[in-house]
Amino acid sequence: MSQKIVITLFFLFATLVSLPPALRAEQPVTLNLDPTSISISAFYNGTDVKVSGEAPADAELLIRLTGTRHDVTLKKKGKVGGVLWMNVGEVTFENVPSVYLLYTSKGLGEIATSENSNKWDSMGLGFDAIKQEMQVLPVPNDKEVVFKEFMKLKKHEDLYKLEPDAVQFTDATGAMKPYTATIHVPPKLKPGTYQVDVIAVKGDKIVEGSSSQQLKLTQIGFPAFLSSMAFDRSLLYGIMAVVIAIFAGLGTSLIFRSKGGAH
Amino acid sequence: MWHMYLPIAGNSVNILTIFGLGGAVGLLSGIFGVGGGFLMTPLLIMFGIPATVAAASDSNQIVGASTSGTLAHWKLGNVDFKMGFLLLIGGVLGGTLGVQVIKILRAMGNADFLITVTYVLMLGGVGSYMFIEALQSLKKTEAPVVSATAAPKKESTYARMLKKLPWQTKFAKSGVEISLLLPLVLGTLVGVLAAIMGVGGGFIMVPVMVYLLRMPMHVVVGTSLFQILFTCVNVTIMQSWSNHTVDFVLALLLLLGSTIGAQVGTKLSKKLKGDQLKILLASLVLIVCVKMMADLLLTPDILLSYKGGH
Repeated sequence: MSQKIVITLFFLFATLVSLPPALRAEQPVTLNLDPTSISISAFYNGTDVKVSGEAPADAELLIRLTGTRHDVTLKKKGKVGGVLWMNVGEVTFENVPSVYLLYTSKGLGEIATSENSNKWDSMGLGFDAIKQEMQVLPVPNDKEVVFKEFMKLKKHEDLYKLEPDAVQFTDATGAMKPYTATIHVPPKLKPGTYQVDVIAVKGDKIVEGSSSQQLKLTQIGFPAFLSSMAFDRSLLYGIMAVVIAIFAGLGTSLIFRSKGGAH
Repeated sequence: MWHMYLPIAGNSVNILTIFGLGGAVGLLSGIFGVGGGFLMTPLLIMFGIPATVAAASDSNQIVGASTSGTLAHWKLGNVDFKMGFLLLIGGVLGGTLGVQVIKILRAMGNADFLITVTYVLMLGGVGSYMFIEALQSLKKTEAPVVSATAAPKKESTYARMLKKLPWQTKFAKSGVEISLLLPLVLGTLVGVLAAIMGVGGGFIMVPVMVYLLRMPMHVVVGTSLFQILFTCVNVTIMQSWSNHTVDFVLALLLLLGSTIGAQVGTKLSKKLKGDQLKILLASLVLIVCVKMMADLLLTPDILLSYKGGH
């Protein structure tokens, strides 16, 4: 009798495990963003977004902010004549996210930053996922080398980043535990809509269907006025920029002359 | 609080840093009559401004700095408007021509290599020549006995050729009498070079005025600024109109500093002798030359970069 129960349970479990992630989400991870929209005004210098919610008590978490995927064409440097480093052509990276910020809880962060991060890569969570999904044109001899340089450039700009100990948990209440994290939105993030995902990991498997929220960045006030002017009335904008610059030069001259006269 | 958002560059900057940067580059403008793009553009890129926006906003800023500098030098009687206009007309012709030349060069392939190497060699050559020449002339003035005993210089072939050109005109401010054609042709040549090299041309124009037009150094600085003013007005409007790359907030923060820097620079320039100015400018040219050589020889940290830089 008890053997039958065990076998039934085993099959039930096997079925559950083999189901696609979304259907397995018996305990959904919740995700709240505060704020969900960011206004870029004249003195904006990036901002913090608080992320909070609940996750299964025995799970590790990854919070991921991604920008829209696009194609980027970059100049490639190479050696000319064996000695001189110069631009030797262009290379296009297709289907790469404009931004890729990763924040993990401590346990997951240790896996991600460890020397042997294959486990992390095999789950398709880290930067490796970008490499798998992008196309490089013209097709390079060694995609690995080109991708490494691409990562260097993006990390240098702080647009691709991994913070390994950024998600904090508080004590579990039952099957769930609350978590918090802070996303430092860099000022370089262009206006647009970004996606924030939270993914729970147990052992080396993604166990829960991820939750997503959108984060919206909009220019308001003076920046919005200047941007629309620069793109919609560009000739007028150029002339205005020149006229104001000339008057600033004239004004400074006058101030210095009056100062000189007082001597 | 101390940051301002740049809507076109899409990044924010520290107000004081940019103000200081403007001041420093404006100072160089006022002293030497150069635009200072060679310094400003790479620094702005370092502060996270896209290369195209950095270059275009810098030209907007130079409009303010060179207005301020031109006025300051004009008050000292150091701007030769007649010469400036002729060089300017040549410069516009040359710039238009240069854009076509670079298309042909690019089509031939390997153009970037030729251009960069030529530019570095030219900076090295011009810088060294100016440095040595000014140093010798400084020594002469310090030891007047030597120059008194030296035989009067034989007129050079270059000077004799110049006298044969038609339309000889007097340029009162510069104190020279040369053919109208000379500034026109030289202006065109500098314009072509500037367009091909992708630089403002101040570095090339100043030595050309000193050695080929034989203008006194102080008048060269003022006249060069006058010329740069018009070039940058043109570049700013064109860049705004066709590429939308001028960030007015960035330009405004820069020019608050640079217009003041240009005034102070002019005062400093007045205190220095022509030869001292030449030596300082030559050193600056040589430093830029060495920096460019280092960039060419050392392995870059990142082998990829965004388009739009030099």
